[in-house]
Amino acid sequence: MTNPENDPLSASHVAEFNRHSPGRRTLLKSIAVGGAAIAFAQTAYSKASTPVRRLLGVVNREGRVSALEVGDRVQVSMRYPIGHYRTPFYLRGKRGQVIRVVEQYINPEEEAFGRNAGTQLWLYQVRFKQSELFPEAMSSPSDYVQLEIFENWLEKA
Amino acid sequence: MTDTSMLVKKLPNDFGGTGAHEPVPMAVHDLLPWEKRCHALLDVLDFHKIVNTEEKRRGTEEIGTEMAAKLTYYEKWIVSASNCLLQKGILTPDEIGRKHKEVSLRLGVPV
Amino acid sequence: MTTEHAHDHSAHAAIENDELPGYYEILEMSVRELLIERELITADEVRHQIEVLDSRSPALGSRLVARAWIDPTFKARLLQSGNTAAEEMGISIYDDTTLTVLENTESVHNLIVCTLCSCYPRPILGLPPDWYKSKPYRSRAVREPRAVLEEFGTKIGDNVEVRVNDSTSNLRYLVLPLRPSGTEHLTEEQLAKLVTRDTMIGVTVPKA
Repeated sequence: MTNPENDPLSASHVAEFNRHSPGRRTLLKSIAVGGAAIAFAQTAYSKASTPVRRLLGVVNREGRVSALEVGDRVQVSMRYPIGHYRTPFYLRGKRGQVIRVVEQYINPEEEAFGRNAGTQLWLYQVRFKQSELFPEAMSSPSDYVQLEIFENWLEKA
Repeated sequence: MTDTSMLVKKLPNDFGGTGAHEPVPMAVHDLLPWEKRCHALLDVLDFHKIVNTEEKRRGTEEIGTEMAAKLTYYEKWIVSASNCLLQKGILTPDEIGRKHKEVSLRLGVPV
Repeated sequence: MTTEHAHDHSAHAAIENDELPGYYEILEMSVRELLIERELITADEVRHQIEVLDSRSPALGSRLVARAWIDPTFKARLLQSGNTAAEEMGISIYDDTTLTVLENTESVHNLIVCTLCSCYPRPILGLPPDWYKSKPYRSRAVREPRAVLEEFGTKIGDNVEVRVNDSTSNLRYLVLPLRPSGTEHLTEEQLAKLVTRDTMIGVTVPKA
C-alpha cells in the first residue's frame, strides 16, 4: 500500500502540493517578476517549431517535451513491424540530422487502425545526404533528401 | 525454403529507391466520373472519421502485392474503404453483395 | 425502400460513359447508397465535395506564387504558415493538412514526391497528374532526382542542392519557384501565367 504522503493521487498529497509546492512558488515568482512571457509563450499549446521548454517545477504530461532538438544527429531504427508504417524502407538504419521539430500528431500506425486519439508523438523533419541513402547510385554530393519521421523511429546517433 | 518475409516486411506501396531506370510515364487521363465520386466519398468518410485517410492507406496496403499491382488507383481506394467498413462492423459482406446486385440490375449490368 | 435521389446522378453518369459500369464503379455506388441509407453520410455532402474538388486547380497555386513574388510580406507569411496565407487569399484548406511552402533559391532546388502513396497539396493544386502517382516517379525521384528532372527537360547546376522532399506525414509541400529574371515589368496576373503546375512540384522551372 503506497504511503499516502508519497502517492501523488492521494487527496492529502494533492492539497499539500497546491499550497506549498516549490514548482508553484517558482511559477508564481516568474509571473511576478515579469517572467510571464517565458512561462506562457512556451506552453504545451504552442504549435509548429516551438517545442515545450522545461520550466523548473512545472510538470508536463508524459511525452509532451520533445526528446530531440534541432541539430541532433539521429539514426532511423532498424525494425520491421507488420501492418502499417510511414517510415520508408530506404531509410532504415540511415543517419541524418533533425532540422525542425514539427509538432505532435496522432501516431499514424495507430490511426491506421481506427484509433483517432490517445497517442500523440513528436514529428521531426530530418535531413539526409543522398549519397549516404543510396551509395551505389550516381548521387551528386550536393543533394539531400528531407522528410518527416515520427519519434518512435528515431534514435540519437 | 524461400524467404518470403520481405513480402510482409516491405509494404507493396513502398517504392522509394526501387525501380531503376524505368522512364516516368507522361500520359495522363482525366478522372472518370466514378473515380471523382470515389475520391469525394473517401473525403467525406475521412471528414466524419468513419474511415480516416490513414485507415484507407492501410487498406490499400493490406490487399497484398498482386492486387496492389493490378488494381488501378481508385479501384484500390474503394476496395480499401469497403474492407475498412467491414472490419469496423459498419457494413457486412452480405449487405454489400446484395446492394451490388441490386445496383447492377438497375443499371442493366449482367450479374 | 431505396432512396431515389441517391442514385439518380450515378445512373445518369453511368449511361454517359458509353460503357456499362464495371465491378468497382458499382461497388462505389453500393457503398455510398448503403451509408446514405444508414444516415452516416448524405448525398449532398458527396455532391458538395465533388464541387470542392472541381474548384481546385493549379491556377490557385499560381496566384499564391505570383503574390509572393510581388509582395515580400505576403511571401514571409506564406513561408511561415501556408494554411493561413492561402486562407487570406480565399483558398480554404479543406482537409486537415498543413501546407508547407518550400522556397527555391540560387543554391537550393526543391522537388516533391510521395514515395509511399500520393500525398500532394490537393487544396492548392487540385488532383495530381498520373505520373506523380506512378511507380517510376515515386521510386526514382528520391534516388536519382537529377535523372528524373532531365526527363522533364530540367537541368540543375552541380553546385545547386537538389532537395527531394518526401511527403510522409500531414505536411503538404508546394514549391515556390525562383522568379525568372527579365520579369520585373510584368503584372501579378502575367506572372501567375508563368507558374505552371510542374514548377510547383519542382520538376520544371518557370520561363519568362
